[in-house]
Amino acid sequence: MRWRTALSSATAHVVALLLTALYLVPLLYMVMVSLVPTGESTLEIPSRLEWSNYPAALSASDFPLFFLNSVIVAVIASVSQIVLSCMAGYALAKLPVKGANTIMILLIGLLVLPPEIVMVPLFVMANKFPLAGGNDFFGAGGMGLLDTYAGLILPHLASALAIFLMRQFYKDLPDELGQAARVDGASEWRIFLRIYTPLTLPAVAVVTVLTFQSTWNDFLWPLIQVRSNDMRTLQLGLSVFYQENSTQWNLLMAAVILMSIPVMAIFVFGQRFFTDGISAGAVK
Amino acid sequence: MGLERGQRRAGGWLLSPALVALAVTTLVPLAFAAILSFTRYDLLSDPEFAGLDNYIALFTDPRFAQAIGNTLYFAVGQVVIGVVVALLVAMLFNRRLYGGTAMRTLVYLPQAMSYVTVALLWSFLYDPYVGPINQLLRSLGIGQVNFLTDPNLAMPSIMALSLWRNLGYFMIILLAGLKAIPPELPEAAQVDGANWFQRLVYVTVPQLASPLLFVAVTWLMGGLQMFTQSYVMTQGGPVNSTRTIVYDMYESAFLRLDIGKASAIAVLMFLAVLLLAILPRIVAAMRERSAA
Repeated sequence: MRWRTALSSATAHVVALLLTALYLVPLLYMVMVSLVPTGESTLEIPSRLEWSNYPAALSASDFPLFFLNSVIVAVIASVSQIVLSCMAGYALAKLPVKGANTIMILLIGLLVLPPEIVMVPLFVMANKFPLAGGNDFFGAGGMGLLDTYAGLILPHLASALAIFLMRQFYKDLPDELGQAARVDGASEWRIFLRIYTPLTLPAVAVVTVLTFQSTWNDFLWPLIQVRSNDMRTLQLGLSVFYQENSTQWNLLMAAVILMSIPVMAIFVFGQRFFTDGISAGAVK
Repeated sequence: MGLERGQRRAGGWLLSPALVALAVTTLVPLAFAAILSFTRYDLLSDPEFAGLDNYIALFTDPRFAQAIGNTLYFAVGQVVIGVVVALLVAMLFNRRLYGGTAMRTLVYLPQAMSYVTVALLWSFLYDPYVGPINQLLRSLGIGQVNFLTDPNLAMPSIMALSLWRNLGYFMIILLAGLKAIPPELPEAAQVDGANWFQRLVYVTVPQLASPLLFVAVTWLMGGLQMFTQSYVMTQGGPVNSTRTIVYDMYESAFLRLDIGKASAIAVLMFLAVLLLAILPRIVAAMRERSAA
């Protein structure tokens, strides 16, 4: 029996190592190719590590500008979602709200709604937005919100998932906290801002990771609504760069690595909160 | 009583900004898509009522039928393979392994990458001339495989990298489910003489029913939305073999300026997702009935 356990453990380790290789090898290849000097083969160990590929990749297109655009969109969207989901989540969890059940059913319904479904009407709405981008009061004549930061952020203003997660978290905090504060004469705003919300930091971390990642990695919406080079986000800028320079793999891989680092860092740091967050809903 | 009214008012103020934002970004566009789907509209002149023309055009368009077929092939294929692999990998990581946490993090890491970056990485790996996979195949004497330019291989190749990216996320969910199974259950089965496969089929899978269903439905819905990989890697080709439903919607709306038809595609997708979302409830209801 003992040697069988040892054998099965050894097999498990071999399988796990093979699986890990399936992930490690492509990622290491990506790093290696990003350091290959231009003109050298991507199939051999490079003769020297060309670190200047990274600054070269940045200056090969307007990547610093695209980076700034992505940061602006992801940060504003994250702030908006955190503020709105804390407010709405708290109200749904702790305050007597009319129609709370209906709103919860609506939120759960929106959880599964693929964002692609609303892209076309949202595009029309952004395009016909009154008095913006050269439009008249009836939304005719100009581009509306297309090709602006407001347009880029629009679909990410609020998310049902963020509200839902925050509501679950506030719900698990004891009601007695608020009742005691009310007896002491604290206002409703004070109870929300000073008593409950500071306790929700782990949930806010989850919402931040989710929002930042989904806006940072979004592709379809920037693709359809951005017209000018100056408004491109990183994902869009990279896909355009690839279409125009499909053979410069060393620069492409350097760009891929540079633009994946922010989300990967947030991901690894937030992993503990995050894995708890994503699995909680599925298992319960 | 005054206290209760103060709470109601605070609740209203706290809730309404989020509801307005959700209405503007999802509910209104959804209703708007339904309206636009009955019109002929090119963004330049006013929309004209077109009845069911857009839907009829879609149902009689062989290219749209092909897009549905491609999307289902991609989504169902990815889910069927993916759920089995994710379960096996979760069971592997549920054991005590040296370096298990590090390996799990690595499998999970591509989840943070965008589809654009993953698609670029794999375009390189698949490349017939400079990519390492073909180099390996050449050295094994198999010869060049055109992963992305062979109509029979393009979609399975995209499926493979999508699986590679998404496996970690779904594996983590199943792993959490596995950890929630009381260890007495598989142990008792083992004492009773059940082998590894019998324990999997009769103990683990029934105990994991709800996480498995969640993973399958979520993954399937994700698969139905596939667009970026096709757009970046193959532009829907070769010979339309990687054109998906969203790709068709994108082309109709933004390359052919047929907003009505694109909206009709969005409405059909919405109905399909709605059906999928209530499917677990139907399954649960049927199971209750058969148990009663």
